[in-house]
Amino acid sequence: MTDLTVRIAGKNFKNPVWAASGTFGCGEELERFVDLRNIGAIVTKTVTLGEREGNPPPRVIETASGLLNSVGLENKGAEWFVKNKYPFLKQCGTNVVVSFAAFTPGEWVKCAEILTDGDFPDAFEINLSCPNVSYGAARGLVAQDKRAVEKVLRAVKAVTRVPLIAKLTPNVTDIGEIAVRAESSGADAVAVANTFQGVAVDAETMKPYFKRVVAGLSGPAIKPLALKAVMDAYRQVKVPVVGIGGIMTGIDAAEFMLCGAAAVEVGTATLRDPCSCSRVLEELQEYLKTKGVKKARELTGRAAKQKGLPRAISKNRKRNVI
Amino acid sequence: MIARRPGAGFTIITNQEIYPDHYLMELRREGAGFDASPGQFVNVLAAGGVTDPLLRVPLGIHRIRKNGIALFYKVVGKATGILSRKRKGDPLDILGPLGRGFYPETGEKEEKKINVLVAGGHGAAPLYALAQREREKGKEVAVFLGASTKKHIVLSREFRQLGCRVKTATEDGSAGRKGYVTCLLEDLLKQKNGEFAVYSCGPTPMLARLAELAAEKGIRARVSVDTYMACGTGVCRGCAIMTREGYKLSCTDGPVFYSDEIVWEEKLKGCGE
Repeated sequence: MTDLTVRIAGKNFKNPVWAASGTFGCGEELERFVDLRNIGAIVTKTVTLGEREGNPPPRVIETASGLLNSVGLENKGAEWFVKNKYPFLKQCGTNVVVSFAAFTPGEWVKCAEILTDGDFPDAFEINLSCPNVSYGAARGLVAQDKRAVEKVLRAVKAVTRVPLIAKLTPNVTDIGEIAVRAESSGADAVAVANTFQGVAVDAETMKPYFKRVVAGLSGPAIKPLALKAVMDAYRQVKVPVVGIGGIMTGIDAAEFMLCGAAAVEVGTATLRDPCSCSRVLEELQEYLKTKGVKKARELTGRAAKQKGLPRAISKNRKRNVI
Repeated sequence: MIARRPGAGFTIITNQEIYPDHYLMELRREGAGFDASPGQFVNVLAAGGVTDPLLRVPLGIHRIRKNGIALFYKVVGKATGILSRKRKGDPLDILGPLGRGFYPETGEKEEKKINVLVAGGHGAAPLYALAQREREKGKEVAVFLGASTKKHIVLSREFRQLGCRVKTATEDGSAGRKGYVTCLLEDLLKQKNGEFAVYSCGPTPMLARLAELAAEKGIRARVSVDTYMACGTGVCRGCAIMTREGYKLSCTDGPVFYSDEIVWEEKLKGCGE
């Protein structure tokens, strides 16, 4: 028997294949298709303090092996979520990671307080990187500004003992640098990464397809880019890296782990087939068996430690990187 | 029962171009039945093992049979192109039935009403399943089919064979009434009194005009909306449509809504004559 368990942010997870935020609802929606107990963890659709109606349609368009979305964090707010979804999530049969986002430091704190229910959930995924909403005056993403990353994580860390997974954006020059700051600010793990910003244009009307113009690209199209982001982060932080970006198969999942991911999240693949997470896990198990790897966690970082790679920026450097 | 896994037991029986660029695909399901209601849809994976196309194609269920379904689709892009090249005996990965159909879940009695089905282009596809169900109940069904020109009118033969009264409208006047298909409804509502149950599927501006006509007569039409869809299961929240109660999802709240629920933006004006 292959040991699939992984330990992330001080918690044990039954396997490293998780359902990514925004592609799995809170699990309840897909219960008719999927046995939720096979999922390593459900990362819920991002919750915000207040209700958000989301962006005006169109919100999605398929691209070559990818999907652009501009959903805009549609949700009913943190209090509604605790009241209406926690009862289900607490008995869904697997680990639960609640994703949330906010727009001011005060809101981050309040959100964390509302969503913390004793030791539940198993972790928070701090969504510092939704490409479809704007934060503050700069209208950028939190995870593009290491000072903002530090501020948010320190504030949230101070009010909850639920472990924090900082979800970063790949739309930066050096994601490693941001990951380092997240780690030093209290993140127990980093999720690498959210969608890549992209644009779709309607040649017929000669206008941008999305009302907000810029949207987030996911799916197999971004996989090589995401693998690099995972490797960059892995080589600079000690906390676990959760790899995300276009995973469609068990081999894809293995590749992310080889690049340094301790666990992976399957997202867009679920939109193609609700059963994708279970299939990816089955295929990963098969791969491990074929390769004679006894423990899934032994894959982590193997390809990132090979000789001949450009020298990793020393972990000692992290305190100097400002 | 839900078809869950790739393949899910559906096999193609026929896949023929029965109107220009429009295909009828008959599917049989081995084993478990497929309990669908008219207006529901399936999300079809055109090609397994490749990532382009990446997502499924939502197609309204065209015919509901005891041991299968039929789909009627227009070749408009990559995925439908791949579907059109599939052959008898090929398996098809289908997710469904999904969404809410033409019959309201809260039992509003439509018994005494005259059924009027209004279709824009291949929006006729899911209305056929409804016509079939109503004809089986012995009800009268009037079908209005609209398209830009005569050669784009689809399924007129098939609706007639069911015993429906079929009228057509074309924008260029090459078949039937000149103008939009909504004009046929406008004519009917002007000329005839009676209680009508109006069902429709087609492009959004057409549905918007139909909603306006229905509202004038105090009719709550049931309309199947056409929005870009990704997952079909409610998780991606991509297929939002604005309603009087805020955004709803075409895939799980719809695709069929009451015409007065939707906040329509662009609508057809007049008759386009």
